[in-house]
Amino acid sequence: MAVLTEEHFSAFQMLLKAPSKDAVRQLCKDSFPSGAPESRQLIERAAATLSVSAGEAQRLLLALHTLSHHILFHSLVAPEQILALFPEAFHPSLKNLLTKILLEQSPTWRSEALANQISLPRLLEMDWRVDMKTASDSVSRMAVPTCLVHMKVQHSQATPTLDSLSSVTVELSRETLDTMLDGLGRIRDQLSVVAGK
Amino acid sequence: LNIMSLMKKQVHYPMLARLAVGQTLMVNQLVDMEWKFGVTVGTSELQKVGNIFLQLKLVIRKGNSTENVYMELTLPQFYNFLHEMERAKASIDCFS
Repeated sequence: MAVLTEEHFSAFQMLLKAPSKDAVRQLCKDSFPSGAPESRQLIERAAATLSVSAGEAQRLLLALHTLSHHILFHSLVAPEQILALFPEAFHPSLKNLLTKILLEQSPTWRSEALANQISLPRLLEMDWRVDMKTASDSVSRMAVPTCLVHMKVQHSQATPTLDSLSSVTVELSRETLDTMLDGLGRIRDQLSVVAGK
Repeated sequence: LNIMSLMKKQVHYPMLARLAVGQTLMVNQLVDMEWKFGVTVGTSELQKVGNIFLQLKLVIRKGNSTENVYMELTLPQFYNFLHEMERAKASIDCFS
């Protein structure tokens, strides 16, 4: 992760040319996602909004991206903590505006970061069904219950698409279901021990 | 000899029936489940976290070989999963 430098703060001066506070807010939000400072579209939009060159717009987006991620990483939740990051001579109103916007956005960004972290495929949904087997090629009459469990999982990708979803259906006999519940029960017991600590 | 063979049939039939039922087709049979759970302490985006995660590995029989399916669950998802499996067991127990 990039380190916050004087250069980043000098780039923020460009925000003084923003047409409105909402424009600044939008720039903060747009520059947050990973890859945002490299987005051609975003750079052009920012350059147009602030009447600066593409190179300068990119410098600003990168600076905003670095600042927002720094705040998120270190969990800076108090205004004083964020204000303390700015250099002494920094424009006071801009400093207050940026602090306010970043504090507002932090909870959303934190949830997004938690939701998008590295993980094994995530379980999205599960359903189950109990069927009764009544006959087969080896037994003409029987009454054997069986359980079918269907799980939908999402594989994490940078840009989630429909293709990243996959589903699996498994069949469990009564004995397997009992064993599985045993295992799940043990997990639950261990979790309560951990929670109790 | 007839009586002997008749007795043999009576003794072995329940066992043979059980074996035959046991051979009945199962689709994607779950043969094993492994698990581990841990705490996420930090990530590249968030220096301090503290979330519990649960990882499951399901071993599924597909034809002659097995396939492993890995997944991760949050704590609420785990409790929901456990709850649903308990309901499935209650349902399957109705048939005993």
